[in-house]
Amino acid sequence: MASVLSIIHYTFIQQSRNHLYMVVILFGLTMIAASLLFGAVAGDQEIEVILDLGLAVTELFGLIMAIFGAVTLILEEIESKTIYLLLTRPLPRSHYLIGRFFGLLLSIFVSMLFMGVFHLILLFVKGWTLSATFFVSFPFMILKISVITALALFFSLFSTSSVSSIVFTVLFWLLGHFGTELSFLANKSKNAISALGTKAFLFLIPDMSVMNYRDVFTLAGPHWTQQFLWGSSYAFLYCLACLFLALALFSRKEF
Amino acid sequence: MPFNQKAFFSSRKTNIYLGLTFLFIFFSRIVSVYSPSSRFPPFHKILMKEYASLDTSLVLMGLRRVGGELSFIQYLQYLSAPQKEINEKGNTKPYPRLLVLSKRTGSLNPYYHYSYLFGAGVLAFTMNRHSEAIDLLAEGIRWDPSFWRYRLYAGAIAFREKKETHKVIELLESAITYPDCPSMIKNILAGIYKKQGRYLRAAEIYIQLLNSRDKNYIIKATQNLHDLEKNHGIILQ
Repeated sequence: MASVLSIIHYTFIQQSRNHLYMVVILFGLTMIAASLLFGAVAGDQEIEVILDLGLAVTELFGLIMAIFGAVTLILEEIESKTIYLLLTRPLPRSHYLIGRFFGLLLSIFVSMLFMGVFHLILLFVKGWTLSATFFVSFPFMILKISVITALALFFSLFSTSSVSSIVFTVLFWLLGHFGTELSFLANKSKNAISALGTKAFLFLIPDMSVMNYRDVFTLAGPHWTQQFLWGSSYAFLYCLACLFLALALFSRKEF
Repeated sequence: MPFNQKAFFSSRKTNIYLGLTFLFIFFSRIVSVYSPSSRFPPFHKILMKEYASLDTSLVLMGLRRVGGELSFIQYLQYLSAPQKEINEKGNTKPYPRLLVLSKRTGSLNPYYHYSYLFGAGVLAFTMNRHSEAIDLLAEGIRWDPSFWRYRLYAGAIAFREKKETHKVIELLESAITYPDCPSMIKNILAGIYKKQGRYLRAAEIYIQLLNSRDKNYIIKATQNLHDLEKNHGIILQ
């Protein structure tokens, strides 16, 4: 446990000193501020536009950090051979991988928190009346980012090129939001093989709609606590699947 | 980093990891299928070819709500500049794409009530295109039958078509009591009162409009209040 915590700490420090990390946060803050411009031309819907656009920007920049962070996290260490320093110690590879995963997640959450606080300030300046929507959407966004980080970590070990890992992760993120449409297509399809193939494919891609509360909070449905329970169960299981797969690859990797 | 396929699958530890992966993937899919989480209906219709790539990208990024709002802003921009189309008979039709633009917003976010109410209000009360307004509201009702304000607006539009102004007023009075009522509807109702000579009630609604987030309606309300004060003797406190 102590070794995992040390790696989490080390990863967090490493990420927060990364120039790219800082640039992404700054760019994210700028984009959140830019939502004011969209709000200004939205008439009565000003606050709604600033709220939704700000949340979307926070999530997208969290995604960028997750993808670039996860893809380069282990690949860079392998290429620079600094990984030898860690793996030659009595440190199980699983501890190393879990520590890296949670360290990266922690750094992403902190950056999202920065963006969230800035977003809140902007909303209050524009006369927003405090509502739970903002605060409830955040944990759901974190669930989505956790899933994509686990997936990106797996792809970074699966593929030898960082570009292909990024492409695969982005593709899975996009398909993850297209699950409802894919399911609809599978049901409409008259070709039994393609319908079956699509349904089998749905097993592999993450179902982001389970955790996409930010996009659907105005829809009628169960209370957010119930939705969060299902969403977090899903994220937990999917993250575990990705981490075990990554571990299967990492445990047999020869350096 | 050589990858030895034979060694990879022959390891007991690796096989356990792979087995657990499949188990968790399977359970996660079960959770996903049985989850009662709110979801949008599938995005299956591209209404405007020029926005097809934008709309599809927004759906793929999980930004249908933001997409609806951006599409609504594009609708407002379309409305802010003079637009007309001349058909084969030589008749001009102002703002011909109003309905399809409103429906595009609805295709991205079918639960964007404000957009439906605003779109129907513009079509019916400023363009006199009642059937298109009803068509739009019908689509809103199809997606969210429980949102009864669509029916309220539909009623007001039907009475307007029959020129039964007192019934239109009655329904619009009810509509403006809700916080999601577009400023445009309040402005229309105040305009009807002003036309009928009921200046006091018109002034009350214009005063409400001063709290609008839309600066254009604040300017319009201020001008109307000055007019009521100057020409009709309404004393504003």
